[in-house]
Amino acid sequence: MLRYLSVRIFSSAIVIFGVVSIIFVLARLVGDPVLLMVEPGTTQQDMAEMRTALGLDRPILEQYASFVVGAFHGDFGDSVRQSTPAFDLVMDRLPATLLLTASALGFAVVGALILGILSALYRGSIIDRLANALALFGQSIPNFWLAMMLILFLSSTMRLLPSAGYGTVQHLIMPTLALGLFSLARLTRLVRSELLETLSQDYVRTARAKGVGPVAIVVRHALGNVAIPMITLIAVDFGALMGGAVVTETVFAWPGVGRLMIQAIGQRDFPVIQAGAFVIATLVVVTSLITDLAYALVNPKIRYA
Amino acid sequence: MTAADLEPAPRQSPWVVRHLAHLLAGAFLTVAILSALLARWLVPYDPLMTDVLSNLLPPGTSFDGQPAYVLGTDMLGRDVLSGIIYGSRISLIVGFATVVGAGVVGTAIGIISGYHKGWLDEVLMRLVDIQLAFPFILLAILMMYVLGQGLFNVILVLIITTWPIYARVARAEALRLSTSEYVTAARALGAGTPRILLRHILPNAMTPLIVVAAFSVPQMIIYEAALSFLGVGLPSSELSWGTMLATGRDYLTQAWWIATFPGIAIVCTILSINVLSEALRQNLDPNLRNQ
Repeated sequence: MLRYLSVRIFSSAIVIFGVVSIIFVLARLVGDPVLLMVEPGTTQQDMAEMRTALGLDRPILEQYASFVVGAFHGDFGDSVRQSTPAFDLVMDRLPATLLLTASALGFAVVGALILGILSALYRGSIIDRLANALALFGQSIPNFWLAMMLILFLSSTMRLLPSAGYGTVQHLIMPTLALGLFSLARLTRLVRSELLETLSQDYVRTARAKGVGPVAIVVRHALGNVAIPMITLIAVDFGALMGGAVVTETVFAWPGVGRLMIQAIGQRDFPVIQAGAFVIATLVVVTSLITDLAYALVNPKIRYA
Repeated sequence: MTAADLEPAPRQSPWVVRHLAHLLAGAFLTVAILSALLARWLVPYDPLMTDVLSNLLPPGTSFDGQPAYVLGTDMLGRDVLSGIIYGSRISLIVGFATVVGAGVVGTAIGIISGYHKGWLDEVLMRLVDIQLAFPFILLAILMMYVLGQGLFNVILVLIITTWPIYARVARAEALRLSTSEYVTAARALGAGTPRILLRHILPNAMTPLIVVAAFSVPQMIIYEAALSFLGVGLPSSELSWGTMLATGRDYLTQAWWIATFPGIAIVCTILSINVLSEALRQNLDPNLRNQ
């Protein structure tokens, strides 16, 4: 267990290191990062001064070393537009992003359990068919388009919910639906198929023969088997969920890291883009580490390996 | 044998009913591909022709002596239906080009990695881990920002960001197959590494890769639309379903049709590909054939 733990933590550290390197290489790939930060039409002299100020005249390996050291201290330089540290700007926005992803994930998990259980218990019924259709549609609708359609119907036409903004539960509903539907669809199919498989096992038949009711069978005997594949799928999809948050936030003017990054792209504010990418990637890596450790704790095959 | 196997088989409905979804999906995709190929002759209007006098016309508007604006016009007076027909070309090109590109690159790397094992495998798989830790869309946004907008760059960036998916599947297959008896036999007969990889491992590793590729096509279409929607994919002067959604977003309350119809086109395309991919997967996987 200890060996597994240390290997897993070490490889996560390597992955984060690699992410930092990718960001560095991308920034330098174009040759001149200053070109990424200035408005078109800036004079050569201003650009030369900026180059010196940013240390871009130093040897590339030295720049790389200081970039990596800086990144692990959360130092990506100051935002070009707001002259505050880029990392601080990102961290200010992080709670909003976490709230949105957590809410979307919660919606997906609860919804998938309800739909998955119902469609497994009543296989072939109208509920099963509806849940299947929802799962298929949910995986086929781009979240940003769903977001716009929700705004169109629930906000513009029916005037039920605010179309954009942050602060109240009402503001959270549409972004949660738009971001969570994809995960809901994936998880529903998983819950259904895992449950169907479990319900055909011998021990479930034995439980049934003893007179255990359908609800008790699902809750006491089957759901435990669904938990592990569910956690795995959530971990696999978490990156996509964070990526989806970037797009969803933009549509709903949700003040999270994603919207900050997209605004930064419009303003050519490269330090903010780098810091945002670093924070989100780190979050994904840490989440996957935590789920792996949780997985190891519940799975004796790994625990004693 | 489980209890479920002993239950009498449910009464089978007619073939057409059972495959209705597949037929509809196939029909829609055929129409989409044909309209992409024949776009020039099908469009009622030049999709890029601006006409400020007829801007923001609702769907179904028609003037004497002109074809109707079936799906309305945008704020520059461009016909939305013509835009959707032209935009289908971008979506389909991106969808298939990126899957073929990323599939070839990822499969090659994965098979070599899994067959070679050792340090090469370690390095390549660490690289895959790093890339998969980075949310696709985020990496793609960063790269598009650095490379600049354009169709070629979108395809390039999507290939660079998605090859690890194929690499991982191909590696697992190569690992499994490299210890199989027929590969050992081939090696004993003196077959070189390239021959073993191409003639013996690759053909047997294809099934899961084809399934992954089929499910990736709609993902790539969504990514292109998302990148263009966010303003880093195709330039807004070019027509794709993503750029149409981006322009429609600013006019959502005044002119709902600009964003609604290209979105429906995306959803129908993706739904069709997903339905057919699912059928493909079930057919290729004997364990799923009866589910």
